[in-house]
Amino acid sequence: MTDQIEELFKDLRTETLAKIIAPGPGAARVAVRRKREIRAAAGSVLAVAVVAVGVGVVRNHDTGAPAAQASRPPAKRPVQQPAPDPAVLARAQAAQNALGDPNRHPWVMATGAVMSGADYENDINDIGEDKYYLYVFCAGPGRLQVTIKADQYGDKVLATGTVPCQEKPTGTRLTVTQPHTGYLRLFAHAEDGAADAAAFAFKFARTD
Amino acid sequence: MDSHPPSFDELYAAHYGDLTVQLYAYFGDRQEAQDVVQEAFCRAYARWRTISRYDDPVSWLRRVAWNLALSKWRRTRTALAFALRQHPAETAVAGPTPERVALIDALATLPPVHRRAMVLRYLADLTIAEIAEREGVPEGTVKSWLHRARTALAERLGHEEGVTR
Repeated sequence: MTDQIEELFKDLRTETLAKIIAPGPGAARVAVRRKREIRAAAGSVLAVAVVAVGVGVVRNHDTGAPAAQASRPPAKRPVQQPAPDPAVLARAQAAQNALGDPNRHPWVMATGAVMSGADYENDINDIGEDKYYLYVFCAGPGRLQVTIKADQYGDKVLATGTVPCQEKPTGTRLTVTQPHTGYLRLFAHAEDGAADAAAFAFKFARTD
Repeated sequence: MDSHPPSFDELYAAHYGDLTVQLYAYFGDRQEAQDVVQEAFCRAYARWRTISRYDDPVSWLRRVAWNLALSKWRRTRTALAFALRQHPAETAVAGPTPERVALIDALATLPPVHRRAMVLRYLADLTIAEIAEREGVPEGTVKSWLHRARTALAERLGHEEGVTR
C-alpha cells in the first residue's frame, strides 16, 4: 500500500480531531426538544380545535340537530361537521391562551384537550431526565384531578394535584421530577361537572 | 456480544469526531462537516428508541450524515467551498499544516466515487466488502477505485506509489 498516503490520512485524522470542538450530545437534545416544542405549540391549537369540533358534533346531535342531520339515523356520523359548540370552543381557546407566549416563556411540550367524558390520558414520550414545572389550565365548570405517572406502564406517581376549572383559568403548578429520559403519562379525571364541559391545556416547562 | 446497546452519549462521544473528519476530507470544509454531523446526531436522537436497537447504529448515522452533506452541498455551494476545491494552500480552515491542506486539495481533484472510497477506507476504516455493499458495486470495482485514487494522490502529492496490498 502507499504507506505515505496512509500516514497522511492518519495525520489528517489526528490533527482534525484535535481541532474539533463538538457541540455535545446535550446540544443535540436541546435542538430536538426545541423542534418538538415548536411542533407542540403549532399543533396544540389545532388539536384543541379538532377535539372541540368533535364535541360540538356530539352536543348538537344530542340537543336537536339541524333538520338535515335530524333526518339521518342516529348511528351514522354526519358527513359534514357542524359548527362546534361556541362555549366549549371558547373554553378551549381560553385554556390555550393561558399557556402564554412560548417565545417569552418556553415550554418543553404543551397540548390541550376538551374533557370528552370524565377521564383523559396522554402518554408523553422522550421527556428528558430533569425537574419540570407542569402548568395545567382548566376553563369551564368543575375541577380536574391531575396525576403524573412514570414510564409507559406502572403506578409510580410523580406528581398529583387538583386543578380548579374557571372561566378565566389561572392555572395550577405541579413539580414533576422525571427520573430518567423516557415516557411519562398524564391523567386527568373530571369532577363536579367538568366532564364533557371543561377544556384544558397543560405545559411542561423547565424550572431554571 | 454486548447485550447493552450504546447510549446516545456514548455513540456521540465515539463517533462525532470521526464522522466530522470523514466529511471534512470529502467536502473540504470542516465547519460545514461539523454542522452536518451534529444534525445527523439530532436526527438520531429524535429516533433514538429505534436507532439504538439497530445492529449497527453507526452505519445509519454515517449514511444520514453523508446524505445530509451531499444535499447541502448540492443546494448551497458557497464561494468558499468552491475556492477550497479550486485553489491549493492558504485559505479556510484554521491552521492546518501544508501537508493536510495538500491532502484535502488532492482529494478534491479525484472523481467523487474515488474520493469517497478513499475516505471510507482510510478514515471510516470500512473494509472493501463494506464499501462495495454501501456503494452497490462489486468488490473488484472498489479495489480499482482505490488503486486509481492512490495513484492519482501519489502523483499529485509527489509521493512514490508503492505496491498495492
